[in-house]
Amino acid sequence: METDSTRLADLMLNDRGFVFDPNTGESYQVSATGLTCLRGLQRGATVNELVAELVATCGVEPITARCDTDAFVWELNQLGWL
Amino acid sequence: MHRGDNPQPGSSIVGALRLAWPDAFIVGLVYNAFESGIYAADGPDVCHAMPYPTAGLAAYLTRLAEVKEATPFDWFMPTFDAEIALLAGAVGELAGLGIGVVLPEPATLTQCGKARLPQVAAKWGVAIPDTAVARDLSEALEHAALAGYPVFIKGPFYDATLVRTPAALAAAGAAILADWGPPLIVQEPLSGSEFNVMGLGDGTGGLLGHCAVRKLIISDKGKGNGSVVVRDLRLDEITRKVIAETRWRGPFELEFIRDQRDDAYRLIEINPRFPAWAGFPAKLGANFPAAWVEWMCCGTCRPLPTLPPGRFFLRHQIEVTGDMEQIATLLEALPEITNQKLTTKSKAS
Amino acid sequence: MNPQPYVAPTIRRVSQASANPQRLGRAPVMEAIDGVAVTRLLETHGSPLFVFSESQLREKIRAARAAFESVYPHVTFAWSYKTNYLNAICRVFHQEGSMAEVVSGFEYEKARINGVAGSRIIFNGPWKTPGALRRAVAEGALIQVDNRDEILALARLAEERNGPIEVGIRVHVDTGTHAVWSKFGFNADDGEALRMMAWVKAHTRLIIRGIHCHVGTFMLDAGAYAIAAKALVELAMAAEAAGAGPVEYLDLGGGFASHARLHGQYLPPEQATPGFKDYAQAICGTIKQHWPAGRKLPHLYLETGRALVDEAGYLVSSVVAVKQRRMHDAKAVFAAYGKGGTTPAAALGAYGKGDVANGQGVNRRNAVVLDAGIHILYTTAWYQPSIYPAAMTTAGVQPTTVYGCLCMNIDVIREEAPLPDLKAGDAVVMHPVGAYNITQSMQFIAYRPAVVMIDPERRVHLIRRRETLEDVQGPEVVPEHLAHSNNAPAASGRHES
Repeated sequence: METDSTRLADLMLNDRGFVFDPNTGESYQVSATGLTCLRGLQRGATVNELVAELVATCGVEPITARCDTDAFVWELNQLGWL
Repeated sequence: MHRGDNPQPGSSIVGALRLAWPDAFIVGLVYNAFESGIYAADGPDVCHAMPYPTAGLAAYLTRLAEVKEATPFDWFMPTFDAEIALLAGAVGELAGLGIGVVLPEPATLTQCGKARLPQVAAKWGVAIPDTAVARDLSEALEHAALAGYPVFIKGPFYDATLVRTPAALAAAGAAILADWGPPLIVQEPLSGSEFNVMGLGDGTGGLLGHCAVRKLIISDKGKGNGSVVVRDLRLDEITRKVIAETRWRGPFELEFIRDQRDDAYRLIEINPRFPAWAGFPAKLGANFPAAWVEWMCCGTCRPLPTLPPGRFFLRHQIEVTGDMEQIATLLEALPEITNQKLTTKSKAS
Repeated sequence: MNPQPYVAPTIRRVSQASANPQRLGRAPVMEAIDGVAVTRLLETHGSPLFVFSESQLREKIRAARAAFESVYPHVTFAWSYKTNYLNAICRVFHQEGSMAEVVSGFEYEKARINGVAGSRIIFNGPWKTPGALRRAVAEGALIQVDNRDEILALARLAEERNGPIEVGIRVHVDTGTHAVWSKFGFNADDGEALRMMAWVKAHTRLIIRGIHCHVGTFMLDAGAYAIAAKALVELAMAAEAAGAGPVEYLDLGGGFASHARLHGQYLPPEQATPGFKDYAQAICGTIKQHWPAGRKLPHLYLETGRALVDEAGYLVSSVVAVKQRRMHDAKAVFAAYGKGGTTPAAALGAYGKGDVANGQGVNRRNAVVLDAGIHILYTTAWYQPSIYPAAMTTAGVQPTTVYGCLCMNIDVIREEAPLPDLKAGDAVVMHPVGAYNITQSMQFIAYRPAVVMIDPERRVHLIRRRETLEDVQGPEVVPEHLAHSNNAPAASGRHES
């Protein structure tokens, strides 16, 4: 097995936010910002960097972006992806 | 397009059309990405997800127009009762979109619904099982007490449960009311063989063709998993009578039970569409879906042959295969799909 | 750079039941009502806000009148006050030629204040106070007697006046398609009504001029009216034969369905709801068929309310909070339209039990909290309003639970409405809500909102201002010994830092 295989890295994604988890066989739909975050996490980005990207691209206030990103990361943790 | 325990007509119809025209361009309209017929080798060329009929006519027509824009088609054959009820009054709107349909009149549909069938069947002189229409549970219980248990309790669109006690009737009736609303239909259960007649009505009272079968294998859901072509002039006569009285336009399936008590056919239901076994007569040379296309195309169709009694079909389930990418494609609500390919970060997959 | 509208990062599990993004159709946007921007309405009048379209009120009553007047020579509509008795609404209908139909002394007073003569008021209901009854008699209202006690009260009044009183008699009929409204009037099927008419003739100075029957509410089957109309004609003829005639008018009440949608109603309203022409054919066709040839046809009164006002009424409300609601796919069959909705696939039993949730906690449904609640949307107990976003959105539609603003768990406006991702501050428009919500609304927890009417020239008129504290507590009286109570902390009580 390749060494870079992790639950997060193995996820199969498309540009519209469809996610297939080959580990469980489950499929998911993420929002556009969710896809941005998920890809960011796959690249190794920190939560701070994800929040900064949302603030830059969506013009959302930082506290809102932080609140929602933390919730999203918590969900991914629940799934065992992080 | 699903072909599981309780098969839907779509795949069978697509198969029949492919028999007549292997290169026909066929668009499958589906309600769910897990409908198995989407992934069949001889399935539609392309599939699109549709709003449920309950979402309303406007939503349905908007989506049809979108689908037509993306993948042009000329004729549309609905195969789901609720969508037929939705579209029957909208033939003009469909024509405005350049979509040809053949549908029964809305009044005919209402008349042939389960709740009204007892009245009209009596008028036509067609025998049906003893049936009472109840507005609520207490009336259903009264009817059942009069008729004697067991009885079938049915909803206005779907659901039929055989119940043997008032408690069972109350439970089944409450479930039907929750799903479909009133009325409840209380019907005597008949013993006898089940017969189905499929055909095409020409809209003026005549038949463009029909095919009668007896069920050979009945699944635990009551579906015919095998049927054999029969010839009984009485069955033909009742079919002609129903089609003439209703001036039925388009595909239909009549369901009968041949009552053991007196050997008479009793009409159970009229379905306003081709059945899931529409592909069977097509394989024997009576291609009803193809006749439907000819009719749409030319205003008339070549006569459909009468099939020889004794030919049968058995339903044979197979596995179709797909890829999650196909599911992902169908899940796309929007046409401007950039990258449909599922990609993974790791090299392992 | 033009920032894209912000949508929070979210993840949802795709289940068999949800594997169709198109299943709910689209969420059409309602940016304006009668040409007036929703945002402008909210800026001027606050949120939430009831909005009525005068044009739609007039169009409806004109369509209803045209449908009946084209097939019947003598027909009069009476505006059902209880459906919506905002004076501005009533006056639109009165301008359009409608009489008033009232069911209490309070409504009677309102009708008189709205300029309706007593003789142009139909007075219904099972309880008419002595004072109201006396006034109605004096002013020549069309009183529809409901019960024995009311007949006796009117008979006493006739003696007191030393003259006859003309009345109508309310009856109920089993139409076979709807539960019998046996609360009201006398039974026309078992002979009770006929016996009563003969008794009234023989023993009182009341003269029965009309027969009234309201078959039920939200009648999706126009055929029920044909059965009722036939029963009324037969009763009229039998009464005449028994010397208790002649009957000069028939009142078929109300009950015509609007394009509201019942919970559990599978087919959408545009397919399920009969038109005025269908009702007119059922009622007028039946009367003409059964009324003796050569006799002048009876005058026909109609009291339809909901079908005339429901679609003219909108409730604009604002999203105040967005939530994600945990759902269990394995248990709940996906219900497209609230309680009892069934998917086509599930209806056909195509998938057996469906797939099984993985219990990983991501089966979530969008939910929003609005600044309006069921205290001003009483009809949501039976009907599900359509909910439209008031601004264009590009996001796809999700089944969304729409909660009201009350601190009550039952305050759910829609269990599942197809809505795009919304955020706090977004406005939505609920429709149709013009029938009964104003009159049945309760002041509970929050002030009731303002009501505006948009006239055909697109001018916006305030027809009921938002409630104030004084409106709510004006009728209250505080006893003297509580007048000066204060809430200062007790010396040893409250923890203070």
